[in-house]
Amino acid sequence: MLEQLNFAPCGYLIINHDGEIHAMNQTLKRMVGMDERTTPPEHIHALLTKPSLLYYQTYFLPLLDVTGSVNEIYLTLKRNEERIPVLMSAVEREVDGENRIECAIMAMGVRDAYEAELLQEKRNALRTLKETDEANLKLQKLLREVEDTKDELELLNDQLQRLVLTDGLTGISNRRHFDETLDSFIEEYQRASTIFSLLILDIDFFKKINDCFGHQTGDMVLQELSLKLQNATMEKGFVARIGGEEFAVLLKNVDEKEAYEWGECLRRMIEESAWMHTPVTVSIGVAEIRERDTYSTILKRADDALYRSKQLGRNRVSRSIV
Amino acid sequence: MQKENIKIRNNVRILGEGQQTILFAHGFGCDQQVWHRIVPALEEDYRIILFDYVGSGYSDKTAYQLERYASPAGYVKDVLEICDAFQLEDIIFVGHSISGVIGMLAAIEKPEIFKKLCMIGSSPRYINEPGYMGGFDEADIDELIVMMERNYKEWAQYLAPIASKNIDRPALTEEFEAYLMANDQEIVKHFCEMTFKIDVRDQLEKLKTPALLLQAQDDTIVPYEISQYMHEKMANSELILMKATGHNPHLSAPEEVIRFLKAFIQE
Repeated sequence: MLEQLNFAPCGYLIINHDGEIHAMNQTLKRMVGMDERTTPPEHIHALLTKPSLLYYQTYFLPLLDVTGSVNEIYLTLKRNEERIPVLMSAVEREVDGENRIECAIMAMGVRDAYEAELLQEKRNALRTLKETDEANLKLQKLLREVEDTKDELELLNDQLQRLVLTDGLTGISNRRHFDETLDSFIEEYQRASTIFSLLILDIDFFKKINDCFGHQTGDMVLQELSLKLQNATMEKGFVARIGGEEFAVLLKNVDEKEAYEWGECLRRMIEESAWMHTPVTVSIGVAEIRERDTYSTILKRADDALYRSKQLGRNRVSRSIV
Repeated sequence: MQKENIKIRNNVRILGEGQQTILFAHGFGCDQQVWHRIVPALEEDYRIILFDYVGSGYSDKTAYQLERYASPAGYVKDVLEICDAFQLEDIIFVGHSISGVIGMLAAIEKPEIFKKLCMIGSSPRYINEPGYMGGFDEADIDELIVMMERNYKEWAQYLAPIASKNIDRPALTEEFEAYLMANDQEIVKHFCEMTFKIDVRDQLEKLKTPALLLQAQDDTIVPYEISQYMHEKMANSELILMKATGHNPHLSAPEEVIRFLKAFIQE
């Protein structure tokens, strides 16, 4: 071997296709911890660590076979028990009528450390990315759960709201709902001048029904009346049970005169309709919203009107006269 | 349609004339082009089918599913789906390295498809354990994976220029190709892990198909003892120690491989 090549600052190796070593320079011998005078090993396998052997056989050789040369492949050589990281480039060409593979081998102790760090960083980054992804997925799952719970709560809340605003016996709106609705009607009147009228109905001689037929029948009469009122007003009026045998109807965009007609209509319907248990009549008081009205004042006027209907002999409709 | 899908998915190529079909399956870390020295000598007399496993060569890498290909079973499915799509029967299966094992598992599952099986440098288990010398420790395999990672860019060049010759493949946009290349590295790593952590020793006795084990000398990946071990366990096998050396006799000594292969087919 040429003196210059023999001591060149990189390992130089000639092998054949089977991996048998033909020549190996001094630099390479020193690299793998061999004495300069010892003869080189027979086979390249003796120089490579096990993982490098695997890589050499599965990648290096097929790659060389297909492309005729291989550049900058990272492998590790054996030096006793130590592993020496190297970069290896190889070219296959014909020398003396035979195919030879010439390899240049550069030890890369320092670069190896750099690369190991880079790889570690890359792995860390990938792990972080994966962890972030997983955390994200978990968060999304939690968010979905929270949203589901929220939907459920809203549903329950709706049901609760309905329960809170419903009269348990008759299933129509209760006093609380009536109060809220009246307040909102007054507010709308003040804000947008939307007029409305209030009818208060009271069953005539209801105490007698309870006394004669018992409370159960009394309750059923209340239920039947609720149904009749609801059917009669449909979407045009808001019907509520506001006391024992007292009901209220709120009619939007209806003035007192028209409300009186509504009242008369209801009164006659109740008087004339068929009753499952015992027929009843109602007395009704009517009041229309006025300027400066409050919850109490309109209620008071309707109540007064109802009182007058009672005074005048019941089963009739009266308007507020104040 | 199914046939067309599989053809594209596994980059299936059909060459040659003849009644007898030979299916060639590449090993770990390469693709169907490793057979380029074997195929020309056989295509006059046989119908040759070449393919790439999903994740290798010019297969459709979007078909790669981590779960499916985490064990040999996914690759066995690739083989059986190709056989099914192209209605192959009574075939000679030639598998290099891990593919010998994949062919064996496929032949155990669907013996009616496989007439004979040729395994070149295959091992049922690479990792040592008490009472079994596979040749490697787990640390060696882990270091191999690191080595692949470090050499990936150099190795990736192998995929590009030569493979594109004569191979039909759907036009890929540059962007898509870059995406595939980015994916490749992970796939290659998974293939490596699957291969070197395999253990199918308990399957060897189940194979009824006649099998030829081609063993090269100085194969540092699969020592002769492992081929002997397989030969002893398999019901109907023939073991040949070749003159060729190394783990890739089909590349380094194609004439010898062709000679044994022809004799085995004609037996």
